[in-house]
Amino acid sequence: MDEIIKKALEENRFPTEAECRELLKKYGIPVLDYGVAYSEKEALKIAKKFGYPVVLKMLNIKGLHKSEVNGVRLDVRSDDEVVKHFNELKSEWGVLISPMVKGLELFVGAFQDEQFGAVISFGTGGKYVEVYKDVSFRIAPFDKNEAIKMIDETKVSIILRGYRDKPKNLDAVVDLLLKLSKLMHENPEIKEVDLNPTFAFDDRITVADARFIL
Amino acid sequence: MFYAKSIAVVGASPDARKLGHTILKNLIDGGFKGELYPINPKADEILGKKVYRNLIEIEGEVDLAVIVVPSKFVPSVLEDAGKKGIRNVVIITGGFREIGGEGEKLENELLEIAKKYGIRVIGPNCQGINNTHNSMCASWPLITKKGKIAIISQSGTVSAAFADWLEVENFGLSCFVSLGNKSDVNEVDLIEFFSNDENTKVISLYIEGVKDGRAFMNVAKECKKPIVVLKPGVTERGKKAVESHTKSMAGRDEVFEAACKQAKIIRARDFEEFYDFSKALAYLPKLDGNRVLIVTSSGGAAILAIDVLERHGFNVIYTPEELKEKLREVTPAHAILDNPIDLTGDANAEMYKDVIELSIELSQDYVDAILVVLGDPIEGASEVIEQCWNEKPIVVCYTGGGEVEREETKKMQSKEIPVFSTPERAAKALVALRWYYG
Repeated sequence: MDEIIKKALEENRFPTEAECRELLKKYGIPVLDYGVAYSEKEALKIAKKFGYPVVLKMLNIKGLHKSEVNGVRLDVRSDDEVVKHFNELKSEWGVLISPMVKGLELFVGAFQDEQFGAVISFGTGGKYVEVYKDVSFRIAPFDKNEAIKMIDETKVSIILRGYRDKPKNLDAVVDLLLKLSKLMHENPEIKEVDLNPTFAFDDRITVADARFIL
Repeated sequence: MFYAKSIAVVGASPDARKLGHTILKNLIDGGFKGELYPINPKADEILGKKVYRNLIEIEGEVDLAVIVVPSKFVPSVLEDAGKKGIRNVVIITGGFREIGGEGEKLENELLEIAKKYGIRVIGPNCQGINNTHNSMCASWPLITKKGKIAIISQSGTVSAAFADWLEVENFGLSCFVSLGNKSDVNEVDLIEFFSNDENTKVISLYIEGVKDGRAFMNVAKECKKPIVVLKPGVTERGKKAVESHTKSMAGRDEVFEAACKQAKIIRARDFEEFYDFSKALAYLPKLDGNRVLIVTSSGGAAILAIDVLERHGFNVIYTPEELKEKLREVTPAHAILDNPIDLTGDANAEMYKDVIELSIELSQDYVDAILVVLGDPIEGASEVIEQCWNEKPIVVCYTGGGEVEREETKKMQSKEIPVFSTPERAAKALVALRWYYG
């Protein structure tokens, strides 16, 4: 069990998104740059470092879907806006700030199944995951071939492989699935993981939102 | 368990309406070659067999005890079995975990006794076991035809119907196992056993839930034979019904689906597929690729098959020119030679023979399977198929042939040539082969 998970369990809470991203990084999973601000001044400093536009996100310990509680502010373009959103989102856990990026939206997830143990899921990402239901599943652990089969079962794989556009970095997606599988195997206390969206580009991928349920 | 040489039927009854009578009768009528010991404290002779008061009284060794007494007496019978040195027991009796409360307590009691003596238990609350290759029908209905498919089931009716179809279609079965409450022996133990059973070629499994998913996947991955699974409880309402039927956890269907893919288990979506896939994998030769040639007397039926094949990744190739040229010599002018090769309604057995033989000979390198649609009353079709049968799969659909079809189908199936009654079912049989052979 990782220290981050251990600490959250001891404090009887879920990890914040900042902690989730930290744990993902430990497993070599590429996450979007971020900073955590506890004051207006810090928020402005972080925003300046990334350059506008940026994203501000509420940090919480309840594993909430942040967009459902208006906890995500996209496309923030000025100092005034940063201050305004910071004050609306702030809590004792601070506010998470990231650069605003846009790539092909993927869903990557994991959960513990009562009968089969850790299961990894992959598909079309975004707000409408439940509507499109373009998701495939595999029981962890699995190898590279199985990961490719899993990706190719989804519709979004067609876009990943280059549909009216340059192909995206498929190897990086495979790598992410394998690393997430390892993370779940080594941390069975994690009941559920949502990495949605994870953005795919032609040269790389990056996890832009992370939520862990313990 | 399955190759017992001596069997005690505890609760054997002289009353023909009781299961305890049926089971003993089926063992006798099925021609069981070993010793049979009916147990009943109140009778002296049943169906011409000497009756014993209890298991302990039997002088000889007993390999298997089948228990049909009321649930409250089962623990003491099991205790006797343990003392007598019996290590295999099938408990038909119901009224255990499936009714909750007292029943659950009683089942736990059974498990403790079994553990103490090292007894393996099938059931309780099941429909028994049948190994045709040991002439051992400790179940009902009486099925004796020897075949290659082992059916393991959590539903008595699903397996009984399945076995009955195999009997009617002349294939028979290797074994029948009714799992019941799976208190001890479960699908994992049975897959392991049948993987090594020389008389079994395909394992067909109806389950409503798996207890240990990992163990299930591991044993399936190791299994040397095709496993075909039918698992209901896909919808939310269906899952609820599973809980009340066998107290199983249906689980998330997409997870089970993934497990099947990873462990190379063939998942049937309905009862019909369950039967057809099992039959196809047991009786058709290995399939090496995805290219199909169709020989038919019905354009419509062939197209129905094409759609199923193409939707599942098959390639219904266009007939190569060199084959077309040869085919022109043996077919009437109005025959259509693109794939499907449509001999039309006046086709006869000889025409089929010429075309299939030429196709096999000339298309070795670019066809992996031939789908034959017999869409009219074509007499002598069975001989043709039998003569053409070789190491590449020939999948036969016989449809729209009336009385002739029934006769010819019977002839083919008695020679272990599977026949499917619709073009879609024949096409799906190929899909099952493709899933298994990759």
